[in-house]
Amino acid sequence: MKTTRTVLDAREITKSYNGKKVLDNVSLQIRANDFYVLMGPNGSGKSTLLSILAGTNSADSGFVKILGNDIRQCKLETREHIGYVPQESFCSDFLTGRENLEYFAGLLGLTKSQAREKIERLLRLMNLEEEADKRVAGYSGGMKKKLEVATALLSDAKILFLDEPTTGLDPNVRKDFLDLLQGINEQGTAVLLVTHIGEDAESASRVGFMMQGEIVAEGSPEQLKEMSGLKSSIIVDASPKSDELMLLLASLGSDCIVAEKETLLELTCEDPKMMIPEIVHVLYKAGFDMRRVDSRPPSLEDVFYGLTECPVRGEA
Amino acid sequence: MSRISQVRASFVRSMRIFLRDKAIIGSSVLIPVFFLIVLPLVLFQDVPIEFMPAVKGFLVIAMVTLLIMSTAMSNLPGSIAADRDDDLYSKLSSMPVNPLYECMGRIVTVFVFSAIGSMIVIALGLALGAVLVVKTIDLLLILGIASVVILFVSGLGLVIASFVKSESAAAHIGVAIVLVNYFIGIAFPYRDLPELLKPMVHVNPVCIGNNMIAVLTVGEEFLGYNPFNFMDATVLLLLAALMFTIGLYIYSRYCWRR
Repeated sequence: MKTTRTVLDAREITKSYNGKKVLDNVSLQIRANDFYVLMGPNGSGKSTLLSILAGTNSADSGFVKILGNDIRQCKLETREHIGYVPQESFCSDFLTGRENLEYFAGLLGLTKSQAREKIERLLRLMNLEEEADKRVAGYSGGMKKKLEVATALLSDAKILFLDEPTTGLDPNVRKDFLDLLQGINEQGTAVLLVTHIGEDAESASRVGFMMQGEIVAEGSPEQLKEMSGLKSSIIVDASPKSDELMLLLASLGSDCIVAEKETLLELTCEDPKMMIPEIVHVLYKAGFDMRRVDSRPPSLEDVFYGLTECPVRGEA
Repeated sequence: MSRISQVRASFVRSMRIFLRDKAIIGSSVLIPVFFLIVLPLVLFQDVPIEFMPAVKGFLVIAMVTLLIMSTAMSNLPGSIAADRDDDLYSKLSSMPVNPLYECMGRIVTVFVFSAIGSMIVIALGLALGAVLVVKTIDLLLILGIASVVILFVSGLGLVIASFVKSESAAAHIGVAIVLVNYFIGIAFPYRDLPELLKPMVHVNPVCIGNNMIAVLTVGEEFLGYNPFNFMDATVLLLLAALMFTIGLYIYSRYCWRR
């Protein structure tokens, strides 16, 4: 049975830089089984919030408690429960992956045998065994991120804070990395991930949308999609692409809107699932060559835009 | 246990980086080695042959001091600035790590790296004909003086690292300070310095330490004065303690964000 104790309790966090409010009364609770993704555009305050929650930055007001201990007042040892992965790649390129892990194990005060055992386990978990004795300078972006997560798991971390860990990773590596985080979460470590990439949040248990220093919406991905009122759309890949094709699709219903999306056409209407057989029938009859006609649920980036009227990949 | 473990972890990491980074090896060890070989051929051609062993001995001491300064005032701040660029301090701040112990690991690296480099420079100097006359009893004193100098320059290095943000700027500012120090009181014996520079030697712990070691190895007569006096010794010890303390404080306050 999964535990649901609160690992992180942050209340009324405010922070200003040079008189400009970056965080405005932000409160956030994370439970032990949460995979929480905080989405927001650049400059929305999400990285500042993460640094305050991880104890590397101080808030102007409010408090952060990790396992019930105030992070500003608690003993240094309480930080053992925090696994923080900042945005930049902090592992030294001059050292091997194993040597980097040995360094952080040493800082945590692990004995040689404890360190060796933990490092081997983490290298296996991260699938980095073969690369462990190579210098980090030769690692790919995905391997570096995995190594950094491994450093965060050397202590008995109860919560992992990750600041835009998937930025710059190609889609396959990103999926692999997110699956890894999912596995870590399932083993009982809460995850708080900050991102501006919608796909990162699709498998989260809770998602928060951050805008101008506030969490403006929160819930599971499904709840947020429902909250936005956005419906699935229909993706049509047919040729020849022509005005005739667009007019034909638009004429299928008075509520149908057709838009070009890269090389595809996207059709939004009241009831997409019911519409698909009709589209197939009409296009077949008109002699179009169909490669793909299927429905696409709204992405969390669409939902973010729908709720905030601001693209998550832009500036706040 | 955890304290020692933190110092050791920090030391092992820094030492590995210092020994693997070609720029650090080049600027700290190879430049003094190059000067040691080239300077006698270029600058000391007119020196009578009977004085050459002492001149070369003095040059060896000056090169060791140059090496220590480069390591502590250029490479130490450069490596700290590089770690800050990589966000290492954000990571460390989130961990149960004491900044002072982490810093001590870096300082131990300066000691050990300087010791290895110094041995190379001294061995090469002796092979090239330098003569260093050291009594066994003075050896401990020399090590003690060198340690005090290392503490002073490390403190200065920590201050540079704390205020200069980029890696190249930190390293270059360090090099500039090293060169100024080198030419105002280390490159030449005290007796050959212009009158204007002589008072500065007495307020600069690096010059005082260098001169003390020179007196113990090549003699007071060669140097032209005896730095083993109350004023110089007090300046050396007080300024070294002060600068090291300031360096540690500023490092733990400005490099570490908590």
